[in-house]
Amino acid sequence: MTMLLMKKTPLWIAAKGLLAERGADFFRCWEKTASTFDPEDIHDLRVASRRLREGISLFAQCYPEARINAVRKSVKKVTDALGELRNLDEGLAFFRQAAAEMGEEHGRELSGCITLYEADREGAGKKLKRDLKKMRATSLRKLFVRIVHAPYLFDPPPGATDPFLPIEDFAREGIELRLAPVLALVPAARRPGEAAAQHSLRIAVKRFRYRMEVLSPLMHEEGYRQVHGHVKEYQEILGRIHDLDVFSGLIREAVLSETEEQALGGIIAKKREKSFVEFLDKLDTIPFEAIGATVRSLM
Amino acid sequence: MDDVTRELRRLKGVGEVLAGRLVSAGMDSLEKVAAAGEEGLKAIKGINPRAIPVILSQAAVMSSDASERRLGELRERTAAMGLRVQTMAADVKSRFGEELAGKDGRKVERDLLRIAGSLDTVAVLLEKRRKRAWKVLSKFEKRLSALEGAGLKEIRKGLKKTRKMLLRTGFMEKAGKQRV
Repeated sequence: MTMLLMKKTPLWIAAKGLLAERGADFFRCWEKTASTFDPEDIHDLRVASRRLREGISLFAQCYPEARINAVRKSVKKVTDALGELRNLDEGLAFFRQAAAEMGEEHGRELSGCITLYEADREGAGKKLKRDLKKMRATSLRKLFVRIVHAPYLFDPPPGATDPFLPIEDFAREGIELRLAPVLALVPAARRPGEAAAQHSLRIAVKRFRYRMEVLSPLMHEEGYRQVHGHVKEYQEILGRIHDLDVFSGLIREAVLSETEEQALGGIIAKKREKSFVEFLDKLDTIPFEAIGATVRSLM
Repeated sequence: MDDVTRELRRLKGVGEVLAGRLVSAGMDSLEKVAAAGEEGLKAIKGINPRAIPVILSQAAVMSSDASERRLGELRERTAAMGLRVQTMAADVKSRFGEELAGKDGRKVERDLLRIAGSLDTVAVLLEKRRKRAWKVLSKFEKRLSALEGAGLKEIRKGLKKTRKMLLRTGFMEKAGKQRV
């Protein structure tokens, strides 16, 4: 970002600067994905689109509702379009790893599963290429630029945030809004059987992390990197737990023999247990209350 | 003695007379002296041929230092202009309040948003177009200073002129083509 952002910078300047930064990242990733279609680039674009949506949701009140919603919808279409391929990539990675871990005796059945996934991936890849082309990055960029550079200034509608509010105050409130659901979900997510609460916590942590990333230019770099690392670790652990829950559903859907299904189920249950212990350890070492306090002190 | 001569006199072996001759030969900056090379300096009357390599190496080092300094100053000025635009918006808001809901207010708002956005463009372009950026920032500064305490109509006209100046000089993109 070329703009000089300070804690007292008014919201109207900060909103467009921070959103422009997220937009630049999103369009850069889009360009790269369109040329490579590499799984990592697809993942980066998906994350960039989510970060941008989080930025839009944070600063939505600074813009005319209909206009900012048009951008939000278009960006969501990109996230959704990328979802199928990303899920298939995750599934493929899981079955490949499982095949390697389970050895030759189970290899044949799993390789059949992998072949099916590979065929699906090819189809999904072609569909994604078509969809991304249809969505036209250039048009969306133009729309984004036009809207982001025109926040409310002198005449915001009733209920909108004051455009002259220092970004520091606005950011503090924004962080608290995303931290509150995280803190509320932890007690339920601590219980091993509460897969739904763990999944909701994963989503809440993800949103908290993206919000931190959008507002990171306001935080001290060194401290930010450390606390961001902890939040990222939480998200990764909870992500692993969720993926394993999804995979246990997938093996039930896949045409596998009973022995095969049981063997795979055993592997999944073991891995989930290990990840859950990791999650509990993390909660004891670096609780979210401490993370919240650090983030507040950095702003 | 002007600034250019004073700058050239920082080179060892270059006095007031020689500095004047360098300027007359078109070498009015350390960068140009460094770029002239041995052949260029040999053509200057009164220069000691044995001092030429030293003058050239000093000019090269000093011009790169000066260039870095200049770039730093340009960045500071751009940031300062950003702050002035913010202050101006707050001042306009507090002085004109409800008047801003009218036609003049909307135009002032549009131009202030465009001008604030153009400072990002200035920040990106100033590395390649330093002289131009310096001039543009000076004009920009002058125009904003002239608008302090002015009425809404005057501010509207002044901002329009500033916006046009920025567009003309290439330091502002057309509407909808701003940078992200």
